[in-house]
This record gives sequence, structure tokens and C-alpha cells, in this order.
Amino acid sequence: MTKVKTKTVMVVDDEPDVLDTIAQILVTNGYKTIEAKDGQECLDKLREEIPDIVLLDIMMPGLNTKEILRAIEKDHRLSGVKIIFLTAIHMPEAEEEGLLASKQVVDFIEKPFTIRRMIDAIEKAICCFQILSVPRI
Amino acid sequence: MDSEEEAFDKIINAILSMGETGATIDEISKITHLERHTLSKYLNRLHAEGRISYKRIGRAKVWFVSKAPLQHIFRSREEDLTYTEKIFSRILSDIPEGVLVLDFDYNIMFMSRYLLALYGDRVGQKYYQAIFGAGIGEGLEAHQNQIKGIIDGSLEEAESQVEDKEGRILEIKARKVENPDGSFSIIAIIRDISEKVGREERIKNLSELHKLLGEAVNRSYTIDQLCSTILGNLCVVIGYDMGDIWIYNHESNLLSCSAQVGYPRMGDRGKRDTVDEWKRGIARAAIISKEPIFFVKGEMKEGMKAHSYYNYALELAAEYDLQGLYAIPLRTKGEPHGALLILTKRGRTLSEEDISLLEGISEGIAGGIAKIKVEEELRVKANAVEISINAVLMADTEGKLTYVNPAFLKMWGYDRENEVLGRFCTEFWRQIEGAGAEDILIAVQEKGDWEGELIGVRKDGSKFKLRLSASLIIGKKGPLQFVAVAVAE
Repeated sequence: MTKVKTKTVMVVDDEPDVLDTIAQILVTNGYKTIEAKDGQECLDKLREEIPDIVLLDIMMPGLNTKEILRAIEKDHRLSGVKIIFLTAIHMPEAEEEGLLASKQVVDFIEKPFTIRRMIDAIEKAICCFQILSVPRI
Repeated sequence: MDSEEEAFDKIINAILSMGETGATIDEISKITHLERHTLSKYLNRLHAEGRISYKRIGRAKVWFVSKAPLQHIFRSREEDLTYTEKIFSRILSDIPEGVLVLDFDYNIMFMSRYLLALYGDRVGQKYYQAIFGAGIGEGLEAHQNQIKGIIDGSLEEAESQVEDKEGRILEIKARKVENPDGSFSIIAIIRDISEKVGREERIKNLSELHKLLGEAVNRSYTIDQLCSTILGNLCVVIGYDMGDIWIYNHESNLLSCSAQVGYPRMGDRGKRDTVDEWKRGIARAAIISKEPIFFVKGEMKEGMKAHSYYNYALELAAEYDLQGLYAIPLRTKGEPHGALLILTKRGRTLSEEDISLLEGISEGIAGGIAKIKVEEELRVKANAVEISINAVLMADTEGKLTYVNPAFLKMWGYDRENEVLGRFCTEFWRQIEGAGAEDILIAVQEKGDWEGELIGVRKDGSKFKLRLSASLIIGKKGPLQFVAVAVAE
């Protein structure tokens, strides 16, 4: 019998309630989780273990999001990791900041969001890349 | 000139030889052997240069040598100055403010280089004429009263802001000083604060516009209402002839006019559409370039002709006899929301300050539009939930109902929202098998969502089968609410 490998999701958010709730829900839904409360902890833990997906909050204290993305892109071990933004800022703002340019960023979920939206995004990312749509003008 | 200077020296020495009492013209004439007519001319010259002054005793003028150091410093050669005078001279030369000395007859006795650069050499001339010309500038009357007060002794010093003959705003601090010879002068420190006043005016106008914008956003329910109010406020603060706000729709990639003011009525529908196309083209060009577009008739900037908006601007200028056309993109960070068009008729253009004001307020306008857009969208979505035939409910993290739509009330047999809001959602259903209805709440909290069949309990106690789909909503700070949809089976 083929054993399906449990997918690992890293959750990065500076709000403890958000971090704990999402991590706990993911575990209940059969995922393994790695938790990080800021960008530096995220990069530190990525040196120890490589997840399949990173759920990344934008506008955390410490390392800014661009620096985190740059560090992930530079590390060849992390080339297969897919990134989903979970954030309160709007997509056009993130696009103007250049945060959606990386090929590893596969989805963008604005807070508040339903768990169903998040789980669907993770499942899609594991199967295939999601193409982000951005304003046309 | 040398003989004149010799004559001046003779006159000064003659006055000095009379000591503290000074000398009349007759006494000077006797000592210098200068003819009275010539002497009078020389005395006036020396007085104009500030080298001598006089007091009236009866009908006679008694002359004294002025020991005012300032004139002496600037009229002497460098090598003739003492060390202290050299230092003082350099300070006065470099000071970025004006130093002016008046006598009590309002004659200018001394002007520093700062003032010489502004007004030319006016030493010996009357103060008000030299600095204020015909004398209608703002604040002049009050300033005149203050100087009069210093002269008559009612004031020791005075400070005023007054407009000079060139329209500059001057800050003048004046005080009375006693000269070494016992006479009095007025020393005034003069600063050109036009830029500072202009800046403060701009900040005041910008603050005023922001305040008006905030009020407009709070009071407007629709984008059209907001844009109309904004155009009205801008007209009051800046003043223009015609203006539009064009709103950009992301989904359709179209621009539509939300509000316009000042345009003459145009009966021909076809012509109206054509004019709208020109304006739409200019608005789009500003949005795409992310930079304001300024078109002033007769002023061609490099490369302007190559731009798509140029022909539209020419057409509009011809149609409405315009002098200026200004298109300001309205963007919040990263997102275009539209463009503001301001048109001025022939003979009038916006000032640099007005343009700066428009650019300063544009992000605020865009933010207001974005906010109203979101509110409008939410109202539309809320209406969709309201009219849904499926029951929709929301509950807080404790499970107490915070919202139900009309379909819920109908399904559960209630008449009004206040009969159910605040009650635990578990009162309204039972699980088909197994333990209590609380399990669903726990399942949603742990797993994030839940779907299954339940037994609904109506107001009258009757039961019915339903299928419920529930999900947890996560906000910026953590779990926010539960949302669920129920369908009767």
C-alpha cells in the first residue's frame, strides 16, 4: 500500500491568535505544521526543515517581506516551496511593492478569510500552480 | 569729486570744532569760508549720506556730526576700518536679513546689502516711498502706526508683517535706539517671509481640503455624491472653471464620469459623447502614466505632441476656449481609482501652489473613493445574502448569533431578528445522532469547517431536516466569526 506523504505547511504570522488557530486547524485537517512568529524565525526554521507550502503574512515586524522572499529565492533547497500570502493588505498594493513577482508566490488571500478558502488554496498549490490575476490598467 | 570730498571734510571738521552744541549754517560758513548756497547743498548731501544730522532749535537747524557706525563702516575703505569694524562689516554683509536705520523724519540713514539688493540704494530717501511705494500693501497702516508709536515714545519696539511695493511679505522688527550724539534713530530688522507665508497658506489650504474631504467621505453614500462634493470643495478653495472626476472600473477596464461641474449645457448628444471621449482619453493617459498631465495653451513641452492626450487636449481647448487643462491621477498605493480633470478658461491658469495642492489631495480623494467603493460593494453583497433563499447565519466565537437573513427567520418560524440574535446557535438544531449540538461548534473551531445533516428546531417546537455548511472566518487578529448556510431538506 502506497503511503501518502503528509504535506508540511509553514505558518508565518506575528499575531499569536492567528498563528495558533491556523496551525491547529491545519493539524486537524491532516497537515504537519511549522510555526514562525516573524520573518527571521521563518528563515531560521527553513534552514532546519523544508515545508511544501509557506503561509506568509505581509507587514510583520523585523525582516520585511521582500527580504524574506529574496532569501527563499536564493536558497536552492527551497526552490520547490510554494508561498501563499495571508494578509490584510490588498493585492494591488502587494503587486506595486513587487511582492507578487516571484514564481514561488502562487496565491494571495486577503484577511478576513474563511478556512475553506485557505484549505482550497493549499490543496490547489500542492497539485499545481495558481495564476494570480491583477488589475489591467 | 576730490574738491567736493575736501569740502565735506572741512564742513565736518567745522561742526566738530563747535563741540557738543553743534553748529548753525552761518557758523559753518564762517569757518569754512564756503558760500551759503553751496554750503546748503553740501549739508544736504552729507545729511543724505547720514554723515551729519540736525536738530531744530526755533527756526534754525543746528548741525551735528553723526557718529552712527553703520554708514561709516560701509563707506570706508577696508584698510581704514578697525578690527572690530571689519568684523561688524562682514557680519552685516552676510546676514540673511535686512538692517535698516531711519531717523525720526523717516529718512533712510542706512541699508544693509540684503536690502540694497532688494530695493537698490535708497539711503536719503523717505522710508515708506522707498519700500512700500504708493502704500496700499496689506498691513501697512498698522505698521505706520507702530513706527509713529516708536517716534512719539508710546512704543519702545514693534513687530509687524507688511506687504512691500513688490508684493513681498516682510517681517519687520523695529526699535528705538539712541545715537551717540543724543539723537534717536529707528533700527529695523527686515526679513522677506513671502515663502514662509506661502508655505503656511498652502498647508492651511491643504489641511482645509483634507478636513472637507474627510467630512465628504463620512457623509456620502455613493461615489457620485462624494465626487460632486469634492469638486464643489475644490472650486471654493482653488477656483476653476470646469472640472470632472472620472472613475476607473477594474473589472470592465472602463472609465466613467462620476461628477462634473461648470460645463455649459450641450444639447447635441453626439457632440456630448465626442467631448466625453476626449476627456476620457486624457483621464486614461494620466492614469496609465501615473503622473499628472498639465496642458497650457501656447506652451508646448518637449515630447508633448507624441502623446495620445495632446490632440484631445487641443480639441477640448478649442471647444471650451481653454487656457489650461490639468489631469491628476487618483491612486491609492498600488491601485488606480480614476482621474481628476480641472479646466481653466482663456486668460487663466492654475498657480504652482494650486497645482501642488491638487497633487497633495489626490491620494486622499482616491482613498475616499476606494472606501465608498468598498462600502457600495459590501452593501450589494449584503443584499445578495439578504435575498438568498438559503438561510444564512453568523455567530461569534462563543456561538451566539450575530446575524441572520430573512430566509433563516422564515425557515425557523421567527418574525423578527431580535427574537434570535444573541442566542446560542445550538438552541436552533440537534444532531441527528450522537451527542449535543455543541459538537458542531467545537468541530468548526478545531477543523475550521463542518458540513452535515441536522434536525432544526422551529420556534413552535416543530422539527425539520436540514443540511448545514459552516466555516470559521479568520481576521487580522485571529478567529472572528462563524458563518453558516442552511438548506432545508
